[in-house]
Amino acid sequence: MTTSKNFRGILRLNAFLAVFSFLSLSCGLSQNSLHVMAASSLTEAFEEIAEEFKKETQVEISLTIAGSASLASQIEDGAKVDVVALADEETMKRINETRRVEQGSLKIFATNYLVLATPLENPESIESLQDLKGSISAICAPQVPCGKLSLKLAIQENIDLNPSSLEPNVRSVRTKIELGEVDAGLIYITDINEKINHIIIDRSEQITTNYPIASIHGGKIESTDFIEFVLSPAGQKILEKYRFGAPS
Amino acid sequence: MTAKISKSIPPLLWVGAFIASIFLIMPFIGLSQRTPWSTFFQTVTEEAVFQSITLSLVVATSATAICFLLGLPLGWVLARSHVKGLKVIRAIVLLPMVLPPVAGGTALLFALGRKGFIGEKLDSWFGLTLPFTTAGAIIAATFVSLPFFVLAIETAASQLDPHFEESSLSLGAGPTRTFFTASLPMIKPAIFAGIALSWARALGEFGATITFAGDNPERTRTLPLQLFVALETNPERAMVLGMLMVIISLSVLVALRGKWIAAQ
Repeated sequence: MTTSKNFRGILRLNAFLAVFSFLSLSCGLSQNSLHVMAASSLTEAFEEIAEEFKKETQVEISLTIAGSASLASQIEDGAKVDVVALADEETMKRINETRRVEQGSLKIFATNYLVLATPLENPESIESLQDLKGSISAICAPQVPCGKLSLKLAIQENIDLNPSSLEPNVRSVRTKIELGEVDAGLIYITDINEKINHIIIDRSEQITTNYPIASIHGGKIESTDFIEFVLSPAGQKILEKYRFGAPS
Repeated sequence: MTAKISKSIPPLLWVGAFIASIFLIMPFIGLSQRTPWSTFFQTVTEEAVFQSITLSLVVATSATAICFLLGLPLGWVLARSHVKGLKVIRAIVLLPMVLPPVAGGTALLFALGRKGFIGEKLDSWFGLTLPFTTAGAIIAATFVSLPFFVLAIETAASQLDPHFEESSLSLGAGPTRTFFTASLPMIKPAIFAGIALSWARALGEFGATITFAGDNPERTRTLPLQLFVALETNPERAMVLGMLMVIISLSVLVALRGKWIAAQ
């Protein structure tokens, strides 16, 4: 008898806890914070920008990082967000069609271009895009900006890339290179690190992608401050440190 | 008898069971509401989708076959042997079930990738590389679904009355013959359950596949990967593909798992 009473008590307690934790989680973001969604390639730069912005304004930034296409899908589906920064204008246009972008808030804040990257030992001695033929390579999937840029580059250079894998974002291309699973891959200049070898492609710098930033309709008023901060000399200096190009 | 048992269920459990069912059913109601049924047939018969379906069936079925061949012995040994150290194996077997599949995929790369400690040998000795191939996708699917099969066999085998086997042995049959003629037929329902669960799990495998086998439209883009691409480009298409997976998995689970419960 006592066991059954105890059991009921536990059940009740459980139900209470479940409801309580659900409620507290769903209103987890504090008042004084801004929800910013940013493309994978912006990870480190935006983490630093968020930190500096907090120092200056006391406004906490909650960052969501994912591939631009994923972010766009989430926003289209009504995700609660204040500011969005993507890796190309085409994806931003997609969000704009749903009228969720605040009119007139859209600005270009950085540019980027692709380089050829190989593992440090470069087993297939790849020196140019032409050498990719017959090698195992990875590029970004065509639905994400770095993938679109890769295809543009292939068309300009008249090369059939024939990649072994279409990775969901630029960081997973880099991981496959770092691990030596592919002989080469195309990544942004901003994604190079000391664990991989990179080769500048002639004329690749001419095909750049523009990074747009915009506030989302119904977002917080501080959104404007954040966008201004990204465009300010302080914000631009951080982006430059991570090798992003300045908007023309 | 059944009515009596049914009456003995405390009302509070009914409430809990009801909430649990609603919680599990809810997302599928949402999905079916949003599925554009008018384009359903058109989408699932597209060439790219059709290719993914075929690939998924090949991958899930091959993975299940491997699960059967490897999981049956392992499940049986885990249930019956008292060899020291099996406790550790028992825990490791469950790891793929609880690990994020992406972590499983990464671990597979370190073992069987081109630079993995086994993969390196496969590459230099046999010129065999698994990432970015259908074989790689099968390995990823096998890795995540094997625990389901092992668990089904282990549970059934440990509940089995050893009397039958003992009498079979005492009548002069060897352990091999006893296993195939006495033990195996008795765990048949569990084998069906194991097949159903591991096949369904293999069919839905995404994280380990995209990490270990990558996304190659011809060789490794199974239905879940196709769904992921669709989610980023054309959400309506993603809903159709999601619904398609629900229908396929549900049919297999109902057909084979129903058989299992009926047999019990």
